[in-house]
Amino acid sequence: MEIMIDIDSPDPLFTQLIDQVKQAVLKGELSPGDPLPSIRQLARDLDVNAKTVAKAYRLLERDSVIQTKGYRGTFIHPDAKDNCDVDLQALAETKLKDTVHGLRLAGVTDSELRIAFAAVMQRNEN
Amino acid sequence: MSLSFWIFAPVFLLQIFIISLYFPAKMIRRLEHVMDTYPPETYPKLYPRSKEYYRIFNWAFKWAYRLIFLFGLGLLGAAAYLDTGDVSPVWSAGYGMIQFIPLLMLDIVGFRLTKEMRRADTSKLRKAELRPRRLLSYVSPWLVLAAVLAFGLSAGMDFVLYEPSEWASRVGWLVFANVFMGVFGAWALYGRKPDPHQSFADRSKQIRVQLTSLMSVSIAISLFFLFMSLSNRFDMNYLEAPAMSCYFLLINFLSVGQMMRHLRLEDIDFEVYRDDSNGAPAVA
Repeated sequence: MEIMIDIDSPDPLFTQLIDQVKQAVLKGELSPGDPLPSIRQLARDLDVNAKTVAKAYRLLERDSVIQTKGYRGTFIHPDAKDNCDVDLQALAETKLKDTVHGLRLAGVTDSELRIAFAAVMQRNEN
Repeated sequence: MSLSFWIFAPVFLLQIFIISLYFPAKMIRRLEHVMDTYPPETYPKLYPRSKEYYRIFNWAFKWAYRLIFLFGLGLLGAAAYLDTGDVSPVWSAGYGMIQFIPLLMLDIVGFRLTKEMRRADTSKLRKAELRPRRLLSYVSPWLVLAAVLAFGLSAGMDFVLYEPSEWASRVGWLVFANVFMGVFGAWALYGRKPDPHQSFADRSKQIRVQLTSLMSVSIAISLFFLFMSLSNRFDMNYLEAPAMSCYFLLINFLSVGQMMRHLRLEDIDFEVYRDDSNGAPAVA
């Protein structure tokens, strides 16, 4: 199974990686339990920064498409096929859209919204 | 002439003929065949430098080995003239190291050329295999076990035969040689793809041959150390020089010989080096 990234593409490199892994899972080219290369190996082969691959792996792991088993390496998650359809970013956007719409109706201005959003994010980080 | 010389001479002659004539002739034929069958005009990605550069290199490589061949015959004559009993293994070892110089140059030049290939590669598409590279995916576990056993046998025999201080020094050299092999192996397995255009199948085959060859050389080194320990301990010094020649022959068969045998030109995908303007894919 091969993946290909286009460094001139407007899509970020980590997104291209995530999309291709998910596509491969959906097409059945990658099955549950299949091993994936290490972050360093993939970064070296693609000649990209290891942080880019690490970010893609982190997001794939968050979505339960892949799972890391300590020193044994990274594998395709048993429920990867079902989880590939879940787009957490789209879910976040939908929820935020509804909230923003409701607050605007209540008369909250955009700048107040931005300040409130930043404050909530900062409070959650702390 | 001593018995030691008569044992040494035929093995040393083999070392001279096979390493300085037979293998270089095969390698030069291979290089020339590639240049004739896959010329720079049609396969420009294979040649980061001008055609003349490769012609000169082939010529220098050929003549370096011819001179080394003559030097070897001269050495044999000198060994016969200076024959005073046991032939020193330094004759075979020194000559063996000289025989490796053109190969080392070939490796250095190859390394530089692949670096230039990577620099010249302007492709914006990058491919990778979504499969981990692991030692046991390329090398038989039995071969790895044999390398470990050979190392253990050699180190164990030294422990039985020598004082602790001498044992430490001998095992130190053995460890050094194996670490050297290990570094090369790790480089082949986990390192960056040297040739940016090489197909995945070819790279996989190359890694398998390189690792198998390094494992076999590691076993040969351990067995050679074992033999040298035994001959030294049991006063069989007259066997050390021919054993050294055999060792160099074996190393060559296991490295250069195996590479040429298993990485056959007809199996290599040269289409990846074609000019892109002809519609060939941009990357391997």
